[in-house]
Amino acid sequence: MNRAICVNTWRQFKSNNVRLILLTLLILAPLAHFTWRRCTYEYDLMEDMISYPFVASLFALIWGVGVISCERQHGTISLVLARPLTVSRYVLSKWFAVGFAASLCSLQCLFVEHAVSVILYPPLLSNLDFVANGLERVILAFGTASMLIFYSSLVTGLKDLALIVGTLFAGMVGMQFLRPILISEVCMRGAGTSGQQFMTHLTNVVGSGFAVFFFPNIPVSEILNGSSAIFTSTINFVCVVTVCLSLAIFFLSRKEFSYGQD
Amino acid sequence: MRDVNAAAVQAGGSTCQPESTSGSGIEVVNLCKTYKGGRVKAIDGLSLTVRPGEALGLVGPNGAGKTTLLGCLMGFLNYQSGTISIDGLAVDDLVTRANVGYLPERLTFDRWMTGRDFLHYHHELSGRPHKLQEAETEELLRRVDLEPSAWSKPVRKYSRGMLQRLGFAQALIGKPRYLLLDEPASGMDPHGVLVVQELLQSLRAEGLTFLLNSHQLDQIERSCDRVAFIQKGKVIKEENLRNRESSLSHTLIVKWLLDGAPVEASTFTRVTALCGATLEQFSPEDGLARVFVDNEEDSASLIKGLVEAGVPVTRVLPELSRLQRVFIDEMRRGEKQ
Repeated sequence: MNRAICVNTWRQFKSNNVRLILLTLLILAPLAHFTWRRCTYEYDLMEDMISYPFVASLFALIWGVGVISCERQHGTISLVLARPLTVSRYVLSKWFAVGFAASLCSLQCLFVEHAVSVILYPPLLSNLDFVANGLERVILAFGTASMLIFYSSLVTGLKDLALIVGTLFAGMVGMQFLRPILISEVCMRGAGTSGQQFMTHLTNVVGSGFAVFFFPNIPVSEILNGSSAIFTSTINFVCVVTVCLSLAIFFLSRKEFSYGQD
Repeated sequence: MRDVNAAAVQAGGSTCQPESTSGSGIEVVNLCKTYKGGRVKAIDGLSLTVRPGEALGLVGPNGAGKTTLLGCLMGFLNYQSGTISIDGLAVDDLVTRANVGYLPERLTFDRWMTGRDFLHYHHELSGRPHKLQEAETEELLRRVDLEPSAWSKPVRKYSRGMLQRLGFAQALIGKPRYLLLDEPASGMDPHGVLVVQELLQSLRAEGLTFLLNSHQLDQIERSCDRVAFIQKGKVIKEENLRNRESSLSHTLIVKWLLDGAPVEASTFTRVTALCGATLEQFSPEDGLARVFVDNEEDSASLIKGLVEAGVPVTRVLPELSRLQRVFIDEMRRGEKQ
């Protein structure tokens, strides 16, 4: 990890007003939602109103879009890589900067929500659900950051956002269309129950892979409640992070940078 | 992985120089670089050597492959064949990167940064000790003659010349042994050009090895020991600028005082004929004449003959500088081929 790159990445974010506005909205939106629900008596004051850990992914998205691709577009990456610094160190520093910033923001959001709940109903102070929620947010922030770094290493400018949205959309549409088609074709060809089961499993596996890639998480609260998914989810998370970062390093090491063009 | 310079500093105290001061220089052998899947040949079997402490100028028309060569030397571009080594090491070696400073033609910056921030960032990236950061960056900013009032301004408010100065300061961070400069005075005002000129001369005096790509031939002539002419991705000629010229066949411009007695054309014709030179133009109202000479001896006897004939000569100048003549000759030869 390189301190200079991390600090520079955070300062880059701070200088971007659009990102700052989105961050503020993302922190305030759940709070406003809960306040509205409380005012309309939809929620009991005795409940700890904290948003889902999924928010961390959105924070990572705000911080991480264009983190490498914009540097490539502006050409600032060339001077950085002209210094005694490896591509892997550069990528890891960017990943850490995005993951850390997203974790910090989502934890801040969590603390504010929890504090409001505690103020309204003080016995909630002893409720430790929010610790598991916070841990999950940190894991999710770093997982999503690795996915974003991978996309950012592929293209220049803000095209990585388009690429993420495109892949997500194509995957969801594909899954919705393919599942019934595959199953009905198998039935028509007389493949029988075993064939149908195979196709169902296949589509489930592809769907799960897709979900793990876009939502790399370890469900801490479920594990604390006795779920046995700890091993699988940890392996999935480590795989996504490792594969994404390795691919980002691989692609970025093979790129040519702009200053060299005649 | 630890930064190389940081490691060097830890090993050798607070020294600014990399541990080794000698090296084998820059060596490029049979380099080939193509674009667009091999359809465009940017560099075609180029070979070049820069000895340690030597300043080499790169001269050539636009699109000759000079910037591509610098890109390959920096490891920004992947080349198809050939070898490049700096001090015997590969260009992407971290030790090489610590030893090489680079100034691109058009430097890009994070717009929110101030000049000082930019240098601090690169100071840290180059692995220099943090305690030296302030002192070293200020020294560099002074060296490139950037006004102190601009140091804390965001770079988006900088003029082109100021950006170029900041870029030059960035290239000198960590006291590199090699400098690759791509049009260092591009976009600068006359004062900036003079600052760059002085900087290049002081760097040369310090024994720094540099490769200077510039279209300003006078800048190369003043700052470099040797010049390589590049055309169509090849070195077509190398000229040692520190050697005495072997032949001096060129046009001289002779100027004389207009206040005294008028100078006759017949005097000039007689003297030039005696010296074996050719009078190309005679303008008594401007007080100048253009004379073509074949060698240095003819040039000396022409000046002596004119003075003896009572011509109040004030200046005798070559019409084109040495590098300009060689450049024009090579370009013409290239066009014929």
